[in-house]
Amino acid sequence: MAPLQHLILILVAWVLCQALARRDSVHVLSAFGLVALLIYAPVAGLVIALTALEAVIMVMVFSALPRKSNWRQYGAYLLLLNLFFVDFHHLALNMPVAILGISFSAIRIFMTAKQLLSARKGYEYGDLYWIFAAGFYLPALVIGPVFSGLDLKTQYEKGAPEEVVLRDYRMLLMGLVLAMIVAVLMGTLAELTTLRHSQLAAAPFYFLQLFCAFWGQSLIAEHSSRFFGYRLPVNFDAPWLARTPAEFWKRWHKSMANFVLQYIFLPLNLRGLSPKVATTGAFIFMGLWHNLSIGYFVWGLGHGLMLAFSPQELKGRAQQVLMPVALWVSVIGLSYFANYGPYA
Amino acid sequence: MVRLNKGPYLIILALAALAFFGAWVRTYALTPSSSCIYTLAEQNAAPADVLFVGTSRMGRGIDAGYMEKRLAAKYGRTVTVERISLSSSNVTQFRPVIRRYVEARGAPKLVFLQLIYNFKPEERRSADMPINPPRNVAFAPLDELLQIQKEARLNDHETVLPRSFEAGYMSIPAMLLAKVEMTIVAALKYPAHRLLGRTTGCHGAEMHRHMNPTRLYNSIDDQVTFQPETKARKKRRLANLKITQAYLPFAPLSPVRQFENQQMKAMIDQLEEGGSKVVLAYLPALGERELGPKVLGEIKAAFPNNPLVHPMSLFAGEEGDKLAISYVDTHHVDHYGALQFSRYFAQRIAHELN
Repeated sequence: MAPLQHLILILVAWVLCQALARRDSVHVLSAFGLVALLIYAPVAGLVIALTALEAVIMVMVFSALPRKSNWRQYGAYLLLLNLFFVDFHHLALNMPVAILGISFSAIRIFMTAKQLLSARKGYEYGDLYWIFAAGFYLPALVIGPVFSGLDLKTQYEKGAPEEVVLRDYRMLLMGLVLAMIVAVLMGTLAELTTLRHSQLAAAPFYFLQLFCAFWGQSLIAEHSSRFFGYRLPVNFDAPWLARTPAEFWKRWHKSMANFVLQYIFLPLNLRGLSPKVATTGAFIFMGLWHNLSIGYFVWGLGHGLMLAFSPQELKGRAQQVLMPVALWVSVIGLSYFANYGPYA
Repeated sequence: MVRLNKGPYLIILALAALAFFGAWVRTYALTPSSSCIYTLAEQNAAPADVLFVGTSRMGRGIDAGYMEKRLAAKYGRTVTVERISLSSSNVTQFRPVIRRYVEARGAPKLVFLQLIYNFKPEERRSADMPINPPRNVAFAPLDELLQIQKEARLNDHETVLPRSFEAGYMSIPAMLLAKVEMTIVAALKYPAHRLLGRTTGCHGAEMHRHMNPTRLYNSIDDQVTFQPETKARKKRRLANLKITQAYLPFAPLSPVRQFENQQMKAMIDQLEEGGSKVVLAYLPALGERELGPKVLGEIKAAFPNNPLVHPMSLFAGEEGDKLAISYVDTHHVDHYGALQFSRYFAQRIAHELN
């Protein structure tokens, strides 16, 4: 789904929501997300619906168990197995299908189910609805961000309080320009550089193409959601200012980084793995979440090792100069290797 | 902070205005290499006497201007020749262009329609995906897009699910949204062109240059000579020959070809209803120089009313070796190859118009 098509669907939903109470727009957005999937990727829509149903059943069954039981603590992780559909479906179905939204929706569904299972007071039946809402939330369908459906519920109970300000329109326009113009331009420059020199020489342009498309669509998601009164987590916070790997992951794809920290790193660390090993393992998961390939395994391993072993603070002039250079060479290099290398 | 909760109305108005404006001036965003083809179809001129329609094989192998000169010089015939060639072997991309040509300019006397069969094994089922490629969505009116979409019979051979679930399939609502999006984008990029009476990106001399072999936009002439093969080029040719061995066979009556046959028949019907005589043209890949009697029989069975012309005789003997060497890749020839094919088809034109 192209960015402008995504925005058109969001705007159509917005018009319909004018007849409703502000907070009820979340229901329209979830319904429209389902409709969008039926239009663009019906099999993906079915997979997301089944994942949500699976999550509902898990919450209902595991909530009956003691809070400290392994099934209640970790059973929801089985939902992440549905992510394998993205990589292996063509083997079972003998043809590739559109997989729009599965990677992000499955994470959101998992986060919602996990939070419900972790809640001291248990769940109410109405809470189960938010599993579906998280899975089909239209603004976040294409490129995220990831968040729990209970975040939507909290905002719903407060009456969808976010107001739209001028900055939201500026950011929306910026998102469209980034995704539709700048990203395309970077792609053209990458192709020209590949033709004239080599694909490796074009790596910075390929990285910028990816970044602009991702950031642009994230801006569209974040700021269009505010039209309906709902705030989504911000994915990018000036990542070009990062000077260390730790700072990078506080600025780049923040929602996914926070997910990996909370739901992969922390459990591994609490189960006895050292922070360095847990960090590396968490990022290997993030790499394989992108794509089940050697390229992305190396990507995850590389980022994990960088984060685990790099200094948290830069001491001395040499580190202050060399670390940012090493960081960006690694970020661009790993991205190139994962997407265009021999094991992509 | 100023609250602007009703601001989306302005965005909707702006997008709607752009969409209506784009539709009114009929802007369409196409890549430079293909925009000239659509310009050719829409220009306010009488139809050419002879029209060639085909893929990049035809684009690199047929020189319309050269054939006109040859027909005049060798056969004493004054004939106008034009060529519509679009890259990729997606067959539906030709339907809107042909329809527009016939509507805007009339039907040519004679049309050479290349047998547009997908040749790539990895696209065995996907030659028909998407049913309407982006070029169609950009250029064709809605009613034609819907007609093509509704008529298409996807080949569901050997699939677990219907192919309407396959990645690359564009449902009708998705196609409508894509059309709106493309119209808006084009309205931002090309209004000046259109208001000045030009279609996007191509006009005049540039358009006519696109009817020459497209690699360098240079015309061929009788001064073009055969370039002997270097060692490096021979190595490349042998490697390319090996690649062509994996190509899908023609097999016109096989299930995987039914969609392509259906689309070509629709184009033939449209041209014949306008009064054109349609002749099928075979432009071979490097390793496909011959069509055996079985395949020729199948083509005849699939298209009983349309003769087939094929330059297989050019590949005989020493001249045939030269022609084989003229292939720059698996299915495109250099200027020497284009000269041979253009001479062959000029002779066929003279024969067909007698």
